[in-house]
Amino acid sequence: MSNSFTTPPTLADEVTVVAGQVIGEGAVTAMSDTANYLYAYGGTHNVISQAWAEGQFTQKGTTYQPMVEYMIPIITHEHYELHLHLIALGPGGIRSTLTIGSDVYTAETLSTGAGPHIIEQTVTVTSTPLASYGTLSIEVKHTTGTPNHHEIRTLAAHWVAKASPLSTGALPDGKLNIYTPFGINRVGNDYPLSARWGVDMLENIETLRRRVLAYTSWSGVDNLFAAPTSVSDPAPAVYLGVGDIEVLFSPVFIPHEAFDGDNFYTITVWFNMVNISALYPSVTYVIMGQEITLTANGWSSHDITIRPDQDEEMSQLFNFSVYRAGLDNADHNWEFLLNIEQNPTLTPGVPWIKGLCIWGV
Amino acid sequence: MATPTNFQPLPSAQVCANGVITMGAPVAQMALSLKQLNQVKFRSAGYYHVGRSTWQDWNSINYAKGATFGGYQNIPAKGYMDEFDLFYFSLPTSEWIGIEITYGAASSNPTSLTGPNILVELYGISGGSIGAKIDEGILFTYPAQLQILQRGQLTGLARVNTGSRLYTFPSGGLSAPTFPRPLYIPPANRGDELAVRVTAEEVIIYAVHLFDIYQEA
Repeated sequence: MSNSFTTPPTLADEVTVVAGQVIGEGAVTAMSDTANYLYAYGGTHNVISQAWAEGQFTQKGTTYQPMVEYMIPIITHEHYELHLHLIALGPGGIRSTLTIGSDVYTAETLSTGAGPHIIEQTVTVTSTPLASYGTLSIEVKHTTGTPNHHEIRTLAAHWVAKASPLSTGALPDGKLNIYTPFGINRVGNDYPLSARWGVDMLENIETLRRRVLAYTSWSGVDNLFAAPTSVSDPAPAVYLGVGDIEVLFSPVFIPHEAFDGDNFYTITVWFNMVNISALYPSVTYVIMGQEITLTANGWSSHDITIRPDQDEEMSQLFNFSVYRAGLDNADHNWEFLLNIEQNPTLTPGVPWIKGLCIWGV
Repeated sequence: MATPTNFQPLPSAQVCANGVITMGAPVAQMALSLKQLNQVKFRSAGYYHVGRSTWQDWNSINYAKGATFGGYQNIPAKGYMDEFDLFYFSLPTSEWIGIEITYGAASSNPTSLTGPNILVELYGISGGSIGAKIDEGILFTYPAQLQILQRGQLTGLARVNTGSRLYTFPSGGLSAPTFPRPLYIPPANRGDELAVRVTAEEVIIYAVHLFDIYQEA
């Protein structure tokens, strides 16, 4: 009895199982196969995607410096390989550290190519995750050689999909919802359509619906070797500014049920804050129509429970509801994001956003 | 029957209990829910925001420890090139990649051979390097698709996309980029780690959003 699946799956034709039809084994086998496939592959696309223009994300220092940091969802306890792809230039090293609860996992790659080259890393999670999220920190250093810096142009990561067959037994996702794999042989011809199959299928669909997807991932670039002194020096954004309001959002599909507050389909916004203090005890930002007040430094998560306006043009062009997951053009954002009057030069103690990640379902 | 795009209510588990006569509807609801997950929710996507220099030569702010205040970069000069290789982790069900780009373009230059344009191509990844070209790609050009929005000497922002209309390839395939359309992933490459190369001329790229086109099953 193997919990196998085919890729891509063959979808069941729902017309063959409506009232008045005999429920044939073909549809039930196809549904079981599809569910197993979705458990293995669902959400294994990009959890991090960010790029930088030439000469911006660079490091001249010869010791590792933490430069970017993201929150990533733990999609299940079975997906344990986080695969990173980077476009790098110059000689240097990249060390990626994934922290899940108190567990820390690291991958490191040294490279020497002067021109753009791909760096692939795999961070392997070896213990059962005790949290539904992890913090991914990327450190960069330069090593001897030319050019005199190590540079990152593109950073992307995804969880590696599971191969067929799935493991046996109840399989938890990152939030401990249960998926029960289907033994494909047991749903074949001459086997009964058991009550358990139906109950398991309903629970499995619910678990898959709740699986978290990454919508937006943004990190400021910290710890440059030296602050820029001219236009030709690297000067990547460390914090979000009012200029990001026009740029920092992703066009994503969101099921309408995610905007109701009475279910488990949540949209989660993660902020990485600095400078919250007694002088500035709180700041408020607006993401997708939701005001979010922050009172602590570091990463914090916030669930959105209201319905934003959809992007009408994109929705019509792409045939479903498309929303902009990111900063709103709202008064609070114009007030609290870095701007010409509030910035580290003029008002060094004001709180700022150093990282922003948005997840949905 | 159409593929539902949202999460439809599921039947009660009671309908699956022993002794209950199972009508067709509960099983059809399950089949439709799986179709929604496969065709709508679990599509691949990569939403890339491009970090650019935050240096500003005015008002003594200069670096200001890094953020974009809303005045965008100087309009790109003639011949300015920008190139990115963006990773796209496709799924076995991926077929067409829709694209939306946020950009700022140069002013129209009558001596320019091509003017502002953005070339987008699709490559495989092989042996840790960019591999063979999978799709010859698409070309966004001025003034057909690209706009020029100036704010004094700074670029304004605009967005352009491929739309979702699927493309019928000519017999013999393509040997040059076409007008904007979704990029195609052939069956042999679906589920692979791919690279989308974006080459911009006289255009500054601020964001590139890549996503599987939604298709009904």
